[in-house]
Amino acid sequence: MRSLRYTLRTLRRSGRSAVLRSFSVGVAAALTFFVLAQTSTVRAQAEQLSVGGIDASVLERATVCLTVIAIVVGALQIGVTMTRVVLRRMGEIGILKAAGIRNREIFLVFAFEALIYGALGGVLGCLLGAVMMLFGPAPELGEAMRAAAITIGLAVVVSAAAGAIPALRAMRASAVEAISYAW
Amino acid sequence: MPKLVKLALSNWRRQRVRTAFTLTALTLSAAAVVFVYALSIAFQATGSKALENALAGSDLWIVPPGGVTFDRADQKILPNGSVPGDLAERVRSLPGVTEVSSGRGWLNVKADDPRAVAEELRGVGLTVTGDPSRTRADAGAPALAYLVSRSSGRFAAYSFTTGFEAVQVNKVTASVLGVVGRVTLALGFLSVVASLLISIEERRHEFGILAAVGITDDVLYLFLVESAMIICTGLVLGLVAGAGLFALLLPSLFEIGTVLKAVGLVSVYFPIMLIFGALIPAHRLLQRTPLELLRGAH
Repeated sequence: MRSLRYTLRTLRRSGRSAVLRSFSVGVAAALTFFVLAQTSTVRAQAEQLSVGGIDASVLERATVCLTVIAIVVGALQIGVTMTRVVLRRMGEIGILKAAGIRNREIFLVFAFEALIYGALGGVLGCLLGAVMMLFGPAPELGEAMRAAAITIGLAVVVSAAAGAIPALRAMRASAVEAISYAW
Repeated sequence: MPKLVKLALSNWRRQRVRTAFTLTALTLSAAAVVFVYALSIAFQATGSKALENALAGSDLWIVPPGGVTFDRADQKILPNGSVPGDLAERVRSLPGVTEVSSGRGWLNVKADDPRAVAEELRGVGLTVTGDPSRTRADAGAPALAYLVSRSSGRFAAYSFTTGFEAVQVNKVTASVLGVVGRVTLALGFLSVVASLLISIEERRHEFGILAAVGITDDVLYLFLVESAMIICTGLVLGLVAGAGLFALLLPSLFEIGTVLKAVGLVSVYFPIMLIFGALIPAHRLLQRTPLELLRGAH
């Protein structure tokens, strides 16, 4: 995978900012992991909160939905960052295009970058969530593993989707335009 | 002014993808937090209605030593245990007590000077408190008495009912749901600020040219109008979406007043976002000389 190697190389150029960029997704992922792994806590709270004939399961589902929304918001932040990354590397994209690199590969370079941010955020989030859970009742290992898998999967998919749109823009630029692009 | 709006719109169009991302992030996060706030206000409203019924206008509220619990399903306050049978007679015989009536397992006491009666109750061995978050009597006390009216207290800023409401609201905001809602808003806030910072940084060169020909204040206005439009649109969409979501998921709690209160609470964030995302960075950028701005780009 030539594009993946290229992505990793560009990431090494700015290793610290990669962690910063996955921060939002990380925070959201921590909450998602917590909510998915601590179903008993969430259910107990939902039951306590169910007012006058409201089904507790509605509140429980609302909690899970809100954490997913949080991940989407975090991923949108990655999308915003990617628009900047793409613009910054416009000259680079132009050179790659002029050298005959395929559009698909250029798309993949940026899509991978967003995906890596998402994965990093997901993993960091799970670690953070695990730390949060040290203060409460410990969940079952199987349940925690399932929650971690869902969280990381969700973070990766949503971030890659958000990064795909700026990556498409990078792919569509013509070589001449891209080389002469300045902001 | 229309010129500024037009310019702002053309700047939105320059970065369509980023504008769309920022708007979506803000909309989602505002919707999430409106939902949580509306829920906590509805929660508070049902709690205070039940409390009003239970208090029945009394000055002192004597409940069993185990306190009372609020049963959400029936929307009623239920006693944990019962007060001793002879307590009503004993309280009635205290000086200053005008009326004692028993409710569902508790006593409602009216008095001329509630504070004095409270002291006497303490003398009888009851635990007396004005703090609604206190739910149990001391060990060995026959009952727990809440001092409801504290009109004579000069520094009592919060009444017993307000305190009770606060305890109720706290239950929502301290729950996972409340935390998730607020964190989502914070993330939305972050992404808006990040996006505004990026768009300022991107236009550094542009600002440099404008500053070189002497246009500085107008640039600030232009940027402020542009950011205000983004934040305003996102918040309004989010408020509507959040209210809609609440009406859809919890139709029995939906009241326009509840939702309006929640919307009011969330709107407070608008100026904060504007100041941190637009005013401060743009102002800082414009403090530089045009030469620095032009040179610094790239």
